Amino acid sequence: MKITLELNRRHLLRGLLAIIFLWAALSKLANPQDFFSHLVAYQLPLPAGLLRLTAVVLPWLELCCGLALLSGVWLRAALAWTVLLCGVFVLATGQAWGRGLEISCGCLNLDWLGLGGDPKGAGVHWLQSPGFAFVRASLLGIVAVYLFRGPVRTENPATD
Amino acid sequence: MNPLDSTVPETPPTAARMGAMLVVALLLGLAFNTMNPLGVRWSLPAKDTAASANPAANQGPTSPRGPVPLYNNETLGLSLEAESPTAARAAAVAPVAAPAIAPAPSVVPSVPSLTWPETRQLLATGQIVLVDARAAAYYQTEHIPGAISLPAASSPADFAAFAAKYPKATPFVVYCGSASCPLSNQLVSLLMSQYGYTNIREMPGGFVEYRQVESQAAPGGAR
Repeated sequence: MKITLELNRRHLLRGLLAIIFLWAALSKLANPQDFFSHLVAYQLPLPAGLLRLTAVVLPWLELCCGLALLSGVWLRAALAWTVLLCGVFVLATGQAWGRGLEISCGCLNLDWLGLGGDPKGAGVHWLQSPGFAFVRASLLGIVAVYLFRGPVRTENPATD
Repeated sequence: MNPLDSTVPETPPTAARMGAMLVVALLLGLAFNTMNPLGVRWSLPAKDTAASANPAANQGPTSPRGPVPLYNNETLGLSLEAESPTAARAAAVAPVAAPAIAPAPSVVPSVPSLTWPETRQLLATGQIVLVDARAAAYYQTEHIPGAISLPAASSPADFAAFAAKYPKATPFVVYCGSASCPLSNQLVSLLMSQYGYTNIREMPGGFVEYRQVESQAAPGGAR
């Protein structure tokens, strides 16, 4: 049996999305309460109960998306969720950036890179600032839309 | 019936699979949150649990409307209350002159470290003032009962007001979000080097340590 490995641009972008989503999910799962605090700090006009539910479910949804993107199983559904989530992230970080909130986006845990905080005193590293998170979410959203609109393998029923 | 229907498996629509993913995430999330000591609390915390969690706080200055605020800045969410006899005594002392401008933190001084159980004992007996160094938004979400909020990034005016309320010998314990959070170090450095406070200790484990130890406790907070 001949196995060919087709590694093209779409695979690379999909892998990049998968890694970022898995990283984001594991960062949040390490401390859900901390993630909930980050959500509240966004000062969104949403009830606390909905924010709590989001803090509980979102990391697992990101994990499901990351695993699906990585494995290719249920790819179209995972890409659709990725597009939706990136859209939500863009709105949330965008409004925080626009209002000048000095908060951590709560997106990715950078502690293991030594970037957990800004030693100069601001408390939030620029990599975790709402402005950078907005740009990052926008780029990821564009990538997700590009992948979602493109062709998806259909030879396996499980892979859309 | 088309005979091909039985041989070609139907692919569920994307929306159905999206729904399935959401259900899986919901179930896993609820199960994980239930078992996780750092999980999200479903019950809304009391508006102010300081008095109930800290018996010493009941001895502080109060009014029929509750604890007397020593300092309040609604814009920044900075609210200092006499939640312990120590704080009350500190408030009774003449104000201390403070620098007009809060300079940038210098080298972080070495201060004694406390665990949460040690801090809890001191807090319960009113021997310390517990200071939350995180941003006001995080404090308002949840904080250790009995703690006051002084964000490390507060304005010079807020620091001046704080310095005016608490004499230099006031025993403080400062905490942040977790061991990786730098804000408590920054606040300790500011208070010691720029405002002359001498009796400061740090709780490096921060709010995470509190949550891990007090897994069943209801933290203070506004939401």
